[in-house]
Amino acid sequence: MDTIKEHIESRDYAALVDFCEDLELQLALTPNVNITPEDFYGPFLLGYLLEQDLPSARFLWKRLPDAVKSTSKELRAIWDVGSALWQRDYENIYELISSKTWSPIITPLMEQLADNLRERMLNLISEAYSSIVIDDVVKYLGFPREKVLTIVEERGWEADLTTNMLQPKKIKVQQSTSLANFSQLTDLVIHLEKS
Amino acid sequence: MPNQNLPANVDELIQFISVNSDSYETVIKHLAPSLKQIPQPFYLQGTSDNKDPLDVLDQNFCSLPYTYFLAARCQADRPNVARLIQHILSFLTVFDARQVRLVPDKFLQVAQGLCRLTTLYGNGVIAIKPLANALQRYAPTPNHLTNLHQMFIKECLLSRCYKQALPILKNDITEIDVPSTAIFYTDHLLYHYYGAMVYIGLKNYERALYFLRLVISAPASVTSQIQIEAYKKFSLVSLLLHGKIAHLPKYTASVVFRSVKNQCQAYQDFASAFESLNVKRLRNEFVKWTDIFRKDKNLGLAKQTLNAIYRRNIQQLTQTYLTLSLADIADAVGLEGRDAPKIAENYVLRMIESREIFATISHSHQNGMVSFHDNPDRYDTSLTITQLEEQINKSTTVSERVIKTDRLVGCSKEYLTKSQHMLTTGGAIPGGLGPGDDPDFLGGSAGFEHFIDDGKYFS
Amino acid sequence: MMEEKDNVAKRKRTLDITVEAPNNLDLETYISNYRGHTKVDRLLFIAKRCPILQNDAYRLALQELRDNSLDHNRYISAATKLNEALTVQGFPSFSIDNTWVDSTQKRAKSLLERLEVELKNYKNNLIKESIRMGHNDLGDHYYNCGNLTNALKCYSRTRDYCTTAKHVIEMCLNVIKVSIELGNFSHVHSYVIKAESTPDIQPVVQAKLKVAAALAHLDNNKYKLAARLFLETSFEISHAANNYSEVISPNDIAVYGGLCALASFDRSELKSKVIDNTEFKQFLELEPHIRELIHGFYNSKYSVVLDILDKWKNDYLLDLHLHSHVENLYDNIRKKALVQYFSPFLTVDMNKMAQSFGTNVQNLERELAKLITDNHIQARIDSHKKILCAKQQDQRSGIFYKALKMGDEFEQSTNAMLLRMNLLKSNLVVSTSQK
Repeated sequence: MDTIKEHIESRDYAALVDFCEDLELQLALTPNVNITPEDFYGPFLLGYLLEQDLPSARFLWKRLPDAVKSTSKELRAIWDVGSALWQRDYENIYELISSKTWSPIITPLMEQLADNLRERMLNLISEAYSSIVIDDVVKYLGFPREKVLTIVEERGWEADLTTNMLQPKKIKVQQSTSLANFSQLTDLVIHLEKS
Repeated sequence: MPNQNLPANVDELIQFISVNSDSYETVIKHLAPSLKQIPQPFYLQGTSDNKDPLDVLDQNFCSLPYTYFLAARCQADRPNVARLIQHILSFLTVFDARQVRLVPDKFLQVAQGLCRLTTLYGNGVIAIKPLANALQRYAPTPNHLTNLHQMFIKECLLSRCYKQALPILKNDITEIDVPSTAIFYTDHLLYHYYGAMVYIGLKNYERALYFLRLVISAPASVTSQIQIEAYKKFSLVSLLLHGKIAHLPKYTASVVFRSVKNQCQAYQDFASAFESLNVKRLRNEFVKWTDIFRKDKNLGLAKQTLNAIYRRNIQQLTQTYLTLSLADIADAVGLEGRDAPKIAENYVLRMIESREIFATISHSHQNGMVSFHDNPDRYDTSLTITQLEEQINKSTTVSERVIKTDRLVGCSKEYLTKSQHMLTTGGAIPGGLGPGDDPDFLGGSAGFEHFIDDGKYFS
Repeated sequence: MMEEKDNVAKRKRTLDITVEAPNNLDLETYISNYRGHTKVDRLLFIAKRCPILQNDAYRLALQELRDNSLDHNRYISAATKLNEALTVQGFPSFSIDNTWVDSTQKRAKSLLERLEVELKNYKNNLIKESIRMGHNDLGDHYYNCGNLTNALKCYSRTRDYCTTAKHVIEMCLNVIKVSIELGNFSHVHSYVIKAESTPDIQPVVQAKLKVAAALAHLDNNKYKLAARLFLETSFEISHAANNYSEVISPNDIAVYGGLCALASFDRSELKSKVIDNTEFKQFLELEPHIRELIHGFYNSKYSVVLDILDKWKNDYLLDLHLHSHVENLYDNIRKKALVQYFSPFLTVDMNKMAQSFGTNVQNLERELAKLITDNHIQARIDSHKKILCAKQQDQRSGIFYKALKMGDEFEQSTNAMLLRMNLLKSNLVVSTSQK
């Protein structure tokens, strides 16, 4: 359990998932009374969600022993979030996350999940929209209007309250022009010549 | 090894094993033939001082006999499940692959036994990772197919451990060695079919398509039902990826072509409805064939195509328009109802996110307007170089393998006889695995011809 | 394939439309260009689809039948139709010349008997040339009586008795004529080829063969091939002594050839094969509007082009050979015009373009979208600003993209081949014998 907590604290979700995959096997073989299924499967499932590996999260949910599934309300609630992600039902996700009190080990993961989703949405909106209705952004971020306006202002988006419209600022993709990296190129050519 | 020298009881057997396990040579020469002749009940018994041979024998030095003991016990009526699982698990981490490959059938029984036992024990998941690790050591190279492959992937599917199959699936199978792996053609068909199912579950459709193509185009003198089923999935996955049924290699057996034509009507009608990009027509065909899709367990895939047709239509629009209003998009792709522009916006947004299209939505204009762009990737970053380099490395590895095979073929008796025959009858010398033999061979990548210059390996 | 199906579908749709009135056609002048069967065929065709011309057309057809044929059956059937029409309109009926019908019937019968006896005698005498003549005369007689199937049989039978190239040509032209009337155009093709393989063909025969083959291509929707042959036709065919008026008029050659060329040629072909074609120029003199049409198209005066096409559409819909192709040809010409309109530009204002093409922006957008999808125009539509923009090709990115993709495919197909080879080597083939 300590390792799980460590991974959560260091936000290393790939390691969290790897560890849980092994632990799942161990627990199946030799059940450990000190670890409840909830304590273990909850972070495991959320680890997949944070890693954006939805198919694996889905299969984990599917292979969970029925006994575990039926007894743990929290696991069910976590999967509700997962399945909203699966359906891309973004508007509901924030509601699902904020309307529950999560156990201490889950809380930071859920917060991270919501933050990640918001970040993803902000990036997507700035890439996909040149102008967007404020209410839509409110839905995509699951924050109150005022908070949304503060957030987007920090990012340099322009707001026009009369038309209720936001103009997202494009994120500059940095392109390191590196065809100048000549030695690499020559290596390639030499390689081609050889074969 | 004459019969009279066979051990008469388990004690003698253990003795015999320890004497003959010194080197791989003695194992092959003395141990292997004898173990084969020893009656099965021997392998179920304990020693006279009531010890279990599984505890006595060294799992690494005595991998061959150990496999016999484990295999026999896996098949016993009432095994001690927990103990046997422990033995198998530890054996799988230390076994000597060379010894085990002498008895691929027995080793398969052990692997199957593990799966059965863990299911009995209550959780099949237990078997997955140990099997994956064992399989990696058991296969002569990662590119070899073994008799364990298909059962392992099947086990992954059954226990819903899709991701755990990837370390095995990511290696392309190119090598076949029947004596050390005891495989049948069904091993190849099933492995790639199950593998495709894993990739479909994980939504890696490119790879799924490749696997299915291998199944359908397998050498065949009759059509296997697995090939038919593979074709069904192949057609749906093709639609998701390419909007039409992808091509099959020219060398696909004609009998297979005939069979799929006769037995996959639903899928072919459905595909041509999809190709028309007419949403209504596709929905009608879907309703018409729903029962068949359900029966074939392809309903989920088929449903996804109903969604994919909108995306394909939007993709088409990017080729035709620079800007188009959301309402016009909805209209053009066949979305209906009051919410149609909003739904269209959602599709566009998702496609932008998954980089299927490049576009910007603007709500400053009434109802929303979409501008489509070209792929902004200018291929002038270090990433391009890295990608190219990777590509060239992979191609070189592949070519080296081709060259190796080419040499082998060139030295094989069949080839020499054939070319000798051709010479005397005045025919052309066949170029071995030359690119000229099959126009499909390079998959249209003519630029790589210099990688496989067959001429120089025969001079 | 798809386009072919489309064409056929379009032709079917135009099969029984009604043309209220022609735009320019003067029936008497028009029909005086023809003689024989095609004259009657054309008149009856016009009568059937154009109510205004119905009565006159039937009357002219009846007159032609009575004066120049023995086809009393057709005479009666045409008269009956005329009378039906007259009754509906409340006019007194046309009085059928029963005396002519009776006498013709008898004359035809006795003539037939005589010709058959003669042929029999010739056959007994085994004189090749007489037998050929006998079959030929019998064929002519059947033809006059309107029995095309038997006529075709007789003409075909002369084949075995042809001794000179001239005979062969005669036989071929007869078969071609009847086959065109029967609508059996594959026959036309094979006999054109047969005729063309004889030595020393006269220019006028050559011209007739070209026209016949062109008609066959037209029937098959092969507009480009049809156009080429019409354009190669010698103007000799218009001279009174040589004319082909039992099949086609020189005016038709101008119209058919011109439209087919517009629908299928690119701009340079239009210049070299049509505009600079001195022979065809003479045909065009007969139909100045086609000349104007072609020059208008070549000089990118699309409103002129569309105007002329529009003004003559009804006339073409009343043409025996052209009617079912009008929609296809017009579509193609419009498409080509749209493509050509855009070709010199990087961007085009769709409002202006719509004006030039006599349509609104919405419809134009739809037309253009179809052309882009079908890869006829390399451009994209700015639906917001209503601008058509040329597609800019980024060759460099394209090559990188292709290279990376090629590498993937190479790896995949090579690995697949290796696996396949090794499977075959180990004889792991799907078969009934294993497992």
